[in-house]
Amino acid sequence: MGASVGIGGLIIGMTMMVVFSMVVASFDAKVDSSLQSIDSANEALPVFTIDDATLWEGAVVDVLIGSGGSGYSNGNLVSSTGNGGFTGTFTVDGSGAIISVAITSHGNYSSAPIIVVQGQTPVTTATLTATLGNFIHANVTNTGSYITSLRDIWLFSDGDTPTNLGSIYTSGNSNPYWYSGETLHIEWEESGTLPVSRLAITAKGVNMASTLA
Amino acid sequence: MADGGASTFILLVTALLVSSSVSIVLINQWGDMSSAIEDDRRGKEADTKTSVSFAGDAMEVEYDDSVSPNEMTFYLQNTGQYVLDESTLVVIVDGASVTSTVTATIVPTGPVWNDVKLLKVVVNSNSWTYQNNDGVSLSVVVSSEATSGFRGTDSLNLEVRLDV
Repeated sequence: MGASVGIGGLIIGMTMMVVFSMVVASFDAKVDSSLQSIDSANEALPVFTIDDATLWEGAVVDVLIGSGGSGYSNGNLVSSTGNGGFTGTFTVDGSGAIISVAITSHGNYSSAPIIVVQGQTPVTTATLTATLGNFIHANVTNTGSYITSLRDIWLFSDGDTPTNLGSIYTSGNSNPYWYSGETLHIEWEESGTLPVSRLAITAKGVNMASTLA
Repeated sequence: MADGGASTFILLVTALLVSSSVSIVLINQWGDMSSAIEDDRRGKEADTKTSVSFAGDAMEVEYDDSVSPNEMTFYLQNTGQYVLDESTLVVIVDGASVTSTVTATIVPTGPVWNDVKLLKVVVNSNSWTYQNNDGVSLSVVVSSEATSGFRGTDSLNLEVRLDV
């Protein structure tokens, strides 16, 4: 009889232990998933500075090919008027006519400069026309530890015309991330209405603004 | 002796029945409690992963007093992990909820306001008589799209300066 009571007590004890272990296991699972949720939510925020920001209102934003001329070979373009600093390159077709132009430095002019081919004597001279527009140049530095995707960064001029940095950043490298300590040189062909006085940058809810020089 | 054995056996069976009943009740109760805790956790997770922030220049919030009613334009960024539902947007300017027209446009255009995109918000009111460089208190409340049956909510409050 004593053995029966002992076995009964053992069964009761085992049952309670099973229930207790289920409770503990369930608690552990809840705590783990909650901690994971909190960890994933507490993402670091980007920290950055706008080192300088300048508006060039007379930048060459486009070069139209009126007549491609003939007798050229692939080469360079410069401006023959003003000292704004424009440079570019061009490519030619089989007859030596200019068929495409790429701007390598937009420069800054008070009036549209005359664009000429550098150092070549063609058969027929090409006609190239410069179009001026706004260009914002800015240097920005990632001073935090957060590696930011360029597509997470937005540029604003006077709080408007939002432009995604990932869609316009081409200089330097093609890496789509902004690493800690890295300085980006931004060249933004801003299409807003003049006058433009401020540049603002937004990344993951962090906003920084600077007056344009 | 035989009577003693029978009564002890009855006690044993009774104890087993009681303990198993208690176990069943405990397990059921724990199941309910666990479900409630899970719902609460998912609700909190939705709130935690729902985040909206002001985007742009708080010193240059566009204000157009040439139209009637006057219009205010600003941008919001989805800084959370859940897709936000722009139709749930509530805008409060200087403590007064904007009940007239709130136009929300996803930038760049797309079907959902996810964590990369902005929301261009244009609000207007006949009662506004703001001028250039006026400061206003701007509050925004927005909810996420339902994820696993749960919506998160976030809000922001900041002082902005108007640019007429």
